[in-house]
Amino acid sequence: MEGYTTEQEQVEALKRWWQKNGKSVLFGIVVGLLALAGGRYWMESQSAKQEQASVLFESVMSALEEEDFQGVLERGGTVLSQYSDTPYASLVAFALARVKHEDGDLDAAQTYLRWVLTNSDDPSVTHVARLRLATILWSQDQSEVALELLDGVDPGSFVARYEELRGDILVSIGKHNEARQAYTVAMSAPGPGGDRNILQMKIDDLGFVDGQ
Amino acid sequence: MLMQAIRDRAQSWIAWVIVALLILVFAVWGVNAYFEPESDVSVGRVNDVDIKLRQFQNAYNQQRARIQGQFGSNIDPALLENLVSKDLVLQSLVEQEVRVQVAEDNGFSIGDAQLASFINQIQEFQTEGRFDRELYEQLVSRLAMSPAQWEFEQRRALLLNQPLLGILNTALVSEKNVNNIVRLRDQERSVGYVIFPLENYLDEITVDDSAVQEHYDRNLEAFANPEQVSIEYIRLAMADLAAKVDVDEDALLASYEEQAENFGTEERRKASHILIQVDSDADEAGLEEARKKAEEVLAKAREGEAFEELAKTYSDDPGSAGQGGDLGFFGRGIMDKSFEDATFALEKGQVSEIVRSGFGFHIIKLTDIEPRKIKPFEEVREILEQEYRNTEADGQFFELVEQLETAAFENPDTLSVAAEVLDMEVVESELFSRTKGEGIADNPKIRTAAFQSDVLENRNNSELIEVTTNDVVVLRVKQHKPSTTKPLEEVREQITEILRKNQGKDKAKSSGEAFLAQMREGGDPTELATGLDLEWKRPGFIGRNDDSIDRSLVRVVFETARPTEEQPSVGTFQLPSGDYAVYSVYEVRDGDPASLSDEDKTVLKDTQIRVGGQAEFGAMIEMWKQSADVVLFPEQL
Repeated sequence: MEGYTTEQEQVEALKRWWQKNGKSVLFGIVVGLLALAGGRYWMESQSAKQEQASVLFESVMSALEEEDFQGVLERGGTVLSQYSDTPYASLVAFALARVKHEDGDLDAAQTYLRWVLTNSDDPSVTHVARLRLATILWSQDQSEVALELLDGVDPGSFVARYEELRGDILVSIGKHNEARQAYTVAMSAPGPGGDRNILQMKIDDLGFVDGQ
Repeated sequence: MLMQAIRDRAQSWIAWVIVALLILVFAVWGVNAYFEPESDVSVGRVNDVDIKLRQFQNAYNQQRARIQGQFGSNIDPALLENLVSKDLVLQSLVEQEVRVQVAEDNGFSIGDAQLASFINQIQEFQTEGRFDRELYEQLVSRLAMSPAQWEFEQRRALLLNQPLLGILNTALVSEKNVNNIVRLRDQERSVGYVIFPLENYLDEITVDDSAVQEHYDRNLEAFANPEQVSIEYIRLAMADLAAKVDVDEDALLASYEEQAENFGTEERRKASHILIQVDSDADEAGLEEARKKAEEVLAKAREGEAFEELAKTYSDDPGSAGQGGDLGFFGRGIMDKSFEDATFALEKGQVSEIVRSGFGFHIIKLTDIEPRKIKPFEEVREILEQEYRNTEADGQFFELVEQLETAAFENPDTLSVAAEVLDMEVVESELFSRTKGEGIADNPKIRTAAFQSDVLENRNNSELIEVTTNDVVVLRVKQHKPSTTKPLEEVREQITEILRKNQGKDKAKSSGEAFLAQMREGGDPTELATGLDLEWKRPGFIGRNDDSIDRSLVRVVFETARPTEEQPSVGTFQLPSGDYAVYSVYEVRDGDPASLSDEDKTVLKDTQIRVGGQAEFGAMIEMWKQSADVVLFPEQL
């Protein structure tokens, strides 16, 4: 058979080629497989880490719901220290800030919110952190600092939240005209806002009729 | 070329190398990705993920069921159709998909153990406080899902929920904001006001004819009778067909026989067993040893030793040995096939021969039988009859719809042909307009179709109109009454009334404004009012929800700027009734946060936290949606 002789020759040729290049090919395959295994190992350990953080996060949330603030602090601390590169860290920092806020320790609450501002690269999360931080600054009578914080960014879909808070702060420092402007923007902003009835009350209270 | 080469050398070693490589590829990356079915139509896409028509239909049906639950099952199908917006269902699917993708991309993750512990805690799946796998599989299969599908959905739901929880439960509300709201919400204002009633001015007004004529000429379209049509139509409804079906008693009996098992429970048997385990890698000798042991135990059982005691002593089944081998009741399809066959062949109380299963050798004792229970025919006859009617009607319906459509289309200037073909009546409606009608014309789809140009102007039959999917109509216009203007005489009185009222309002307004001017010059409102035979009322402090005076006036009072030390705020307002009000705000008393009970304060605070958290999360979703690449295919719905 013709194929037989051809194949015989091919086998010879391959054998010679193998003698020459076999080692480097084997080496290449081994390196490739190792890299593949390493990559998969890294991905698996990463997802194992995320899953652990996920379980801890759920337990922080149930502690928060049961008002077991000690539990929130303990388990939340673990998430922040050991799982800070997972998305759960920001949410847990929010929980810690809430607990500190309830306790009246506003400085500590600030710390956690600033942590999110610095560490999260998700803009939707940092908007929430910024709004909450400004709320706390306002509570601490640092209205100017709070306003500055709100001024520096494009609020995007958070515009109604930004403007209502800005209005609240402006009213508290007697800047009624600016406040009315902020509230009006909040009222007309598209998308989700807070309680519109309350917002309307706030606008109304600034009065449409001149005192005379 | 490559394929040719492979074929040429199919039997040579090169082929084997390729096969080996393929095996390696599948072993590393898995085989699943190559065999996912890709048949379903897409209704939308978020980034690279399709939203399938089937997903949409599931969500849509769930939403329908929810609304039906709220309104009861008697809800009018047309109304239901309107309440469940396809568009909103699609939007919410998009939102869910966006949320899942963002969560996954950001590294949110639900592990298998976490999912399992969540499912284990669902009470519906528990018997006596413990997770019951059988019950679980049974309940899930009722949702027309495999456990794997159901678990996939649950994992998605948990994943979706995590960012939501993390924002909602952690929202903050400032004490200042809460106090602010109390101050505003519970605010009271001390007011005074006088009303200039419209009716005081109406008598002195005379409306002359030229004014009426002028108003009529300027507002002709307001005095028009709307364009009207009446229609002839054929209505084909599945429910009507079903009611007309001749019921064949034999067919009912046959379908009863066929699906008898649906009307009752299958036979279940209760058994105990003794397992002599055989390891899966056991050799001949091991197998023989186990068989011998099983035979010994069987012999003891036959000699009359208590089966329970034997099970406790000899059985290798850790789950049942403690209970004397008892496995409880089970139906077919649960146990190992050979075990099941043996059990279902036994008489009650009888002990089996040795039975070989995947686990080893069993000795089985049948302890109880719960026979199959089936409801008698009479009890389920009504259900069967309805089912029969529906099936028969269903079979006819689509064929009839097609005949109707064809006959109406091929004979566009009459419905009588279609009526003859279908052996149905042509029905006539009353006159109706574009916006209002009775009977069949109550349905906006019908009104729209009747006023389409092809139907109205060309007088052709309409296309098939789906009132619902099981109820269709073809119509044609019978009579067309064009829009006409009402003659002046018919509306003279109406116009006179309008003009009189308008002038009265103006007079009330100018009286009110004169009154306000005098007040500003220092006039005492009480005296001024008495002089006009009116009363300056002083209801004292009123709250936002006060209902002792006109509500629109209350609203205006609270929108008015605060008074100063020296001077009350004043204002005027025309009430919806046409009366005119002049009012003063003397004093504002803010709500006092300190007077609020702790409980009320907590409620207020919690509400604000919830509202704030929801608004924040809403804005997050909005932001995610904006940065996702969303395409909709609403034409596929």
